Order: sequence, then structure tokens, then C-alpha cells
Amino acid sequence: MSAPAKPLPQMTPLERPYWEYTRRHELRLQKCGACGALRFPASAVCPECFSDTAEWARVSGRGRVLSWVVFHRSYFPAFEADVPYNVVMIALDEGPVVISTIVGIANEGIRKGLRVEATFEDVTPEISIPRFRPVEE
Amino acid sequence: MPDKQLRGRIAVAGVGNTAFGKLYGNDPYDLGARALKEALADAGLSRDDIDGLLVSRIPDYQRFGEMMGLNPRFAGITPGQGRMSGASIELAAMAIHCGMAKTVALVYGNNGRTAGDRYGGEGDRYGSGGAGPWFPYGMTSPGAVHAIMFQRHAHLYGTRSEQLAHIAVAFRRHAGLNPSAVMRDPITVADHQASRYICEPLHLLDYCLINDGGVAIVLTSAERARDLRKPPVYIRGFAQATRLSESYVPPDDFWRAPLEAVAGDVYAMAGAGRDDMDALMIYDNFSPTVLFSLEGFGFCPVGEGGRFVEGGRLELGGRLPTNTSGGHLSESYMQGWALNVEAVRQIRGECGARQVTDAGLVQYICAAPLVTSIIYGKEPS
Repeated sequence: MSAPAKPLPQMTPLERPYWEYTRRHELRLQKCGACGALRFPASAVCPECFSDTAEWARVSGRGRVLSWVVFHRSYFPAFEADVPYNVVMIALDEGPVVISTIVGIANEGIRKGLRVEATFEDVTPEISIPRFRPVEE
Repeated sequence: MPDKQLRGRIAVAGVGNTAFGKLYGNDPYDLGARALKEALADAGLSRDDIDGLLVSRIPDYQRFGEMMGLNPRFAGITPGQGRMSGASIELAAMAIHCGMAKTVALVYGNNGRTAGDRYGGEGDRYGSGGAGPWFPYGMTSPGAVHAIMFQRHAHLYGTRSEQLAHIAVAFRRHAGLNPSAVMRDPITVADHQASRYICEPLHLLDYCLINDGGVAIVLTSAERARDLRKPPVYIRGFAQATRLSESYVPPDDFWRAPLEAVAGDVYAMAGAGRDDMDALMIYDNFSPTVLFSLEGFGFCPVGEGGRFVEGGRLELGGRLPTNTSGGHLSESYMQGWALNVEAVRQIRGECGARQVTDAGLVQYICAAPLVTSIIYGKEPS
């Protein structure tokens, strides 16, 4: 019997480029072609200025922990073996906030303000998802 | 804000609910139908008096109207989200005010226990189109959203889990005085702390129940309500505000901006201030929302919600009796509907052992991406 598979990212046409870049281990977000605001998740228009032009701009992948939780129950069968696992809210240096997981540190070591950078896990041959690991200041 | 002229012009004529708990074999339509029968009997009205219908969590208003033989002039449906209970009541008040209907039945049915709802995992559609984008990380469930908010509150202000326990203990004590409540055995702060983590830092006893039940509320004009079976409970004020932008992640301000906006509007419309409230009904899907609500409405300074709820302040006999039915944590998870019913019953003096003495003004508050508040009064102004 094979283990249940973890949920894969949603792949709407709008979001597909994000995941095509993460597959190359690059973190890129939509940058408005008119006002320059970065936005995430992907959307058809800029929530700042309503322009529908955008490019996928590479961001540093660095940020800070804003908050976090540790799941002690699993709502997905594929996460049963991971319990207790962390989920972290990270403010990227460029502004947008993302949800991810911290790797390379025990859950007890996660702190508000912890400096982190993106690292990519190849979950299938086609899909890599960004996680984060602690880094020096 | 809604026109101040509307103060006291709309009233609750009848309320009804089913039993709460495990009601196997019922679907949301059955539960809503039974609750509506109760609410009509409470108001002394019949089916043919209903010319407006709003259903919530019941999947389809047409099927419900068909079941009940209703042909209202005004009909609608709101999504089965807790924030929609207050929003639905407000919409019904507006419909009555502008002449779309004279008497609106608001009907809610929830068979979450029977259906095995888990509020997390693949079926999770909470919030901005669901938490789908975060599923690859195992991030799911509204409880986790509130846990991550509470963790941030704890870091900014030093709020402790033991302080959340005081909320759970107070509401459980109230539930013990409410024969309809699902969870009535007393709990202590130590019980709360010993209950298992679901999504740390939140424990099991920070979470609302998942149970079956139905609730109905009949609204009409104040003028008409005065001729009906029960004394009217007047809607003194209501307001709404949102924080929808960037709501794909929990808000950095604990929804303070929309909470403050609603507070300003609802008290102005009601012609009463927060210190005039005899009791509060705070949407408590998870205990931290009680802190966010109290701070956002100015009952205590920002960041001091944890200290504020200590010492029995929210308990019957305390300064600010809150969720006297036991709330979602201990009475029943009726997504705000039963809290509005409790507000009405407190004003009427129907609450028996859990009655607040001389309850003249009771306020409902829901902190969420869509914030609502409704102030109910014994007098129209």
C-alpha cells in the first residue's frame, strides 16, 4: 500500500508561472507594470492601482518570522506522520507575507523575528515548493 | 453607518431553535424547518405572515420555501459562514425598512456533527476562497488561522494561554446554567491547560463545538411587533465593516480597523455607549476572537484583552457578562445565530438561572474579515 500523497499546489493559469519558477528554485512574485507593487497570491489586476500589466520579478527569498503554529492533529492523511509539524507566517523582505514551513530547526526553536531564507523541496519531478530555513542576520 | 432614524424601528418578534447536539438523521432543511416553527409560535405568527425569507447554511432557499409552502416577496441566501449571521440579520432589517418585506424569517440549519464536518483538510473553504494555496504545507482549518493570530498577540503583548482559559471557564460555567447547552460539566483553568493541543498554541478547550441544530429569527417593523405575542426586542443599532484586502493571510491588526469602525457606527446609531451594555454576545469560534473583539470595541486597551478576561469579568455577576448561553465553546456551534437568540432572550428576561438582572441593552459582536455588530434593546431609543 502506498502512502497517501500530500496535497499539491493549486495550478490555476494565473498561478502557474509562480510554480514554474519555484520548479527552477526561484522565488518570483508578480510586480505591477504600472505602479511597481509586488503582489501575492497571483491576481489578474494590481490591488493597488488596478493595472493588469505585471512581470514576474525575482525576490530575495529572505524574510522574518511573524508568527507560527504547531499542528498536533492532522487534517490530511498524508500529514499524520509529520505531526507535530510547524506552519509559519513569514514577511518577505520585499513586503508580501507567505505561509510556509521552517526546516532545519526544531519546532521549539522557532521565534518571532527569526531570520529565514527560502529553500526548495522537489516534491514531484514537476513541482518544487518553497520552504524556509534559518540564516544568520 | 445606517441611518440613525432606523434606531428602534425594526424588532425581533420571534426566536426559535431545535435541541442542540447529535441529532442524527437530520439535514439542514429539517433543522431549519423545526426552528422556524418554534420562532413563528414564539411570535404568534403563522406561515402566511412571512413575506421575506433569508436562509443560511441551508443549501437552497428554493427547496426550503418549497418545503414550507412559502412564497415570500423577498428571498435570499447567505453562505454558511459564521460572519453571515449578523450580516443576514442586518440585511433583513434593511429589507423591512425599505419595504421589500414586512416580516422576514431568518432560518439557519447546521448538521455539522451528523455530516462529520472537520473544518480542515481537502474540504476546507474557510476565508478567501479556502486555504487551498497553503495545503501543501499542511496549513488548513480556521482554528489554525486563529492560533497563528493568537501566537502573534502573545508575542506583541505577552498574552498567555492561561488567560484564554478564563474565557473557556466562564462560558462553560454559563452553559451549566443553560439546559439547552451541549457541554455543561464545569471546567477549570487547569482542565483547559491539560486539554490536548489541536493547533499549538490553542488547546482543545479553545475550540468551539461541532454539533447539529437549527435556529430561526423572525424580524418585523417595531410597529407591527408591538401587536404580537411577545414584547418586541428592538434593534437599536447595527453596523458592518470589512478587511478583505490581503485576507489570504491572518490580519496584522487582529481586525482592529474594521472592529473600531463598527464600534463607532453601532454605538452612534444605538445612541448608547459600550459602558451601557448589560451583556455581550461575542462570536467565539475560538477563544482568541473574544480578546480581539473586546480590544477592537474598546472594552479594554489594545493588548490588554488577556488581563481583562481574568478575574471573572466575563462571568454572570461580573462587570461584563458575556456569552451567557455558553456560546460556541460550550452551548452550541450555531455560527452566531444562537448568540443573537440569547441576546433576545436576555432582553425579554427569559433566561432563568443565567438571566442578567434588568438586561436592557445587549450587544452582539463578530470579529472576522467581515465584522458585524448588533445592539438589541428593551426600549426603542
